[in-house]
Amino acid sequence: MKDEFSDEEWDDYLTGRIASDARARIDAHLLVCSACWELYEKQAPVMHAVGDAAADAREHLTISDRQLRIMFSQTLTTIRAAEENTPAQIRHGLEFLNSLLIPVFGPEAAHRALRLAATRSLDQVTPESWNSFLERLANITSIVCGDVFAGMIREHGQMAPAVH
Amino acid sequence: MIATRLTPKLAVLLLASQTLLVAGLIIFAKLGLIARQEYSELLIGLGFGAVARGMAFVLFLRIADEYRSVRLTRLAWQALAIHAALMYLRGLVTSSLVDLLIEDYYSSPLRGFLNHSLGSISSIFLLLGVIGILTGYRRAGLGPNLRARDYAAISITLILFGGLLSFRANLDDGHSPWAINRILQPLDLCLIAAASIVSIVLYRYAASMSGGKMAAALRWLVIYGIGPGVLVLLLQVILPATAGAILLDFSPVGRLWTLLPWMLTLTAAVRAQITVDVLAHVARLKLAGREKPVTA
Repeated sequence: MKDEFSDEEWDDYLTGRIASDARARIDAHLLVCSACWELYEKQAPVMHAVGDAAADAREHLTISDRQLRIMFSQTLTTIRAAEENTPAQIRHGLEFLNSLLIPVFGPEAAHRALRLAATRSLDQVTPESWNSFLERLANITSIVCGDVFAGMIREHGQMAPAVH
Repeated sequence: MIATRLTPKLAVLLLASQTLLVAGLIIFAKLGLIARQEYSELLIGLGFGAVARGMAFVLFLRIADEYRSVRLTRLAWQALAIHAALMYLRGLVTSSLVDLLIEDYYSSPLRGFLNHSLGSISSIFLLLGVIGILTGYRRAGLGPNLRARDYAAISITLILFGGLLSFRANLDDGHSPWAINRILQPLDLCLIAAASIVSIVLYRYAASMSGGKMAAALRWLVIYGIGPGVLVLLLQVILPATAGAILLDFSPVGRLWTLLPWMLTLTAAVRAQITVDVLAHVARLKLAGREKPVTA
């Protein structure tokens, strides 16, 4: 899939924000690629639901565009992490760490800290690299919030809950 | 743990009490029910100021202790603690209450010297503290880029303070018999302007976090950092300029200085509360006992 179009184009396609020429290209690809079609069928309902919920929220709640973008980016992170190559335990671990960071860091800085700790992308965190990822995250949190919070990240990152 | 007792709620309660007491005295005097109680107002400011600075000092030192592995950030919080202590000392030795002990002290060059020397030193510690925190964030990779409106706010601050400094002969110590006072007052103003500018940068950092308790603590520090600049401009530029057009007594506006220490106390209290909440969260997680290793 990545040879045909980028992750960003795919996200834009799912949310209907894509340019018409790129849309035509992905439409054409979906006609011939069953793997991408399956992925589309799996992700499209979620993205449409998110889009509808966002539209509802925009209409009924006073959420700024900025906050909406953060919520959207978190949803994308979760969806991407749910792809086959991310083990469920890592996904749970990332969600758990995110839930610890958000009340203190705020959603945007929490997401940025996780990405910085992952060095490249959250998708590439593996069980093997989990400890080094956790150590980098603890170092970042110790600068912002001190050793107590960093200690919690270290300790509970090793023991992320299995079910949320 | 001291932070469980010196909470943001307590700080807000004390701030509200001080505001009500001083506002009550001023309003009753304006209504003609009592005579203006200037010394009582000053005493209230000094007393509550001591509590505010004391709380901030203790909390900042406790917060600094939490950064044993990050020397720069630890030093930054310690600098804020020293700032709190120096500012209280400054409030004490520059109060017009000292006039009760030393005749004509308030208008003496000694008071001017103590005011601006302690003010300058404490502003340096404030700057060191805020810059230390900002540098830590940037090193961690969490520093955002400034926006056009931030540069606009910084430019306006520079222009206003530049204007004020160019007319420094009109300031309190512009004609002081002590040459050092004539140097220290503009230096003090420059440092207040610098604190305002750094606080604008800090605001961008806090805003980029999109919420969270750390951003809340930083916001109080932003208000504290910008506050002196706003008050100096209000009292030295805006009110004198409008005094002819608006026939109101602006003298109570000067009392706003006595509320400013609470902004620093709230910074410390909100930040210290993070640790209290984190420890409570850890205790809850342990109680829940639903943990399982990721890397089994």
